[in-house]
Amino acid sequence: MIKSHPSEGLLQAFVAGELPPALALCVSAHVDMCRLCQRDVQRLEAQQAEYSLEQAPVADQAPLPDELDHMLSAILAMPEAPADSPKASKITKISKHIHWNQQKFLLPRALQQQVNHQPALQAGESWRQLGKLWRGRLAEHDEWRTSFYYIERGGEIPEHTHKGREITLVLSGSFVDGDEVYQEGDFIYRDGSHTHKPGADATEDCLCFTAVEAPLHFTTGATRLLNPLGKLLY
Amino acid sequence: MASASRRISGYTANTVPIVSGLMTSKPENQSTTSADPANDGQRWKDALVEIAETRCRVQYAKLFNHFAPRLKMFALRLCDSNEALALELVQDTMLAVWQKAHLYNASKGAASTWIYTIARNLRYDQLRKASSKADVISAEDLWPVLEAETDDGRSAPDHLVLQLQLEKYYDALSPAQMEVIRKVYLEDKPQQQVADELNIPLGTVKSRIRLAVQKLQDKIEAHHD
Ligand SMILES: [Zn+2]
Repeated sequence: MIKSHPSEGLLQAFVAGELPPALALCVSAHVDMCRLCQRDVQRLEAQQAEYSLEQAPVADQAPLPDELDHMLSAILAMPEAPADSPKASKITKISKHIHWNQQKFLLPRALQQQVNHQPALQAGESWRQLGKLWRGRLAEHDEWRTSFYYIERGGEIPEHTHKGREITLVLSGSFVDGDEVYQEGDFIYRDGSHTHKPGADATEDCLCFTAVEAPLHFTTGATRLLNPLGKLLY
Repeated sequence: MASASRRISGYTANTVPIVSGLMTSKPENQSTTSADPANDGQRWKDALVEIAETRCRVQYAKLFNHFAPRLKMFALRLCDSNEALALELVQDTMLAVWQKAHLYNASKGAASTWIYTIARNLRYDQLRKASSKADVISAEDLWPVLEAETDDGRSAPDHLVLQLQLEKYYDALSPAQMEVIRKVYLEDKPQQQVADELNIPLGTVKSRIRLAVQKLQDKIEAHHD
């Protein structure tokens, strides 16, 4: 059971196209996994389309301005795609899994698209080990970094405070943060006011996807030495 | 669980007024084709379906005349009034509408919603490419809305649980279901190929998957509660 979802405001901003792309990716991946949010997003999309397109103050009969007229001609002048057989072409090209530790994880669709551009990440080859953690970096976008994390059972990330927002999407296993245990599909949103040391459950490994805004700042004793690792970690 | 419906809050970015303005009616002179918005919606649904089926350029031109100027207004807002970016977004969206009309599913929503969603997703792609430092993204990096509906996975979040790690749940499945699940999800074979291999209709493959996924989901939810 998914118990932790994006807030209504976050879903609205996602639907409206206003999120930073890394954050949008997390929301989109959660929505792939969550029936409830799918329903909400579909409803919001219908409303937003009605508001932004149908109710836009534009007269239907007006002649097209030049730039749009040219665009229409250009589109119609494009060669037709060879007899559309999307079924044959797409499915063989897109691999839906990520491989790690001799396991194979089916990804939400939004992540499949991204991971397919990075064979080394997908095959588990470019991952970096830090104790009981492994991180596979997906991308960096401005202040955001997106990564996969594999946390061995009982492993944790040293206690730290965020300087920005951090989103964790649990893809497999159980992710523990304080007293809360999160499961597949849970979407966990943290902001800069939050100090924590999340990790995997004691009984099973955990695979998750994270988007982090700016590096983490570690807070406790010896782990301050790890601060330079913050950058590597996230 | 006590916190079963807890929502994480704290998001503070500006959002557009999603609801306000929805109820205002159009000024009369703006809807020249039909006074009834419901008929209008049906008209564009039909147009898209016709475009997909017959590649009708006349219908496409009508659809373009209606949506492109509206998309441009929306795109200008999304692109902070950057005209070049906005036009690129309109062009990419309307090109996708022309080339991928066969992926539109009229039973799932209005034509305007489908077009809106394409534009919004392309905007995120645009942003991602513009801000990306390390990652390589191909030109055809379209989001799920433009994928062919090659299987039931399109809107079935349950499939995430179908990983090898969860083999302990597989004993809930009949041998026939397991065989289909193994071929489709673990061997990554297209459903049509699986149908051919097993010499059964495609519809049977689909229904076995649906039932199997339902069974697995029930079992896994029971386990997690
Ligand atoms: Zn949700």
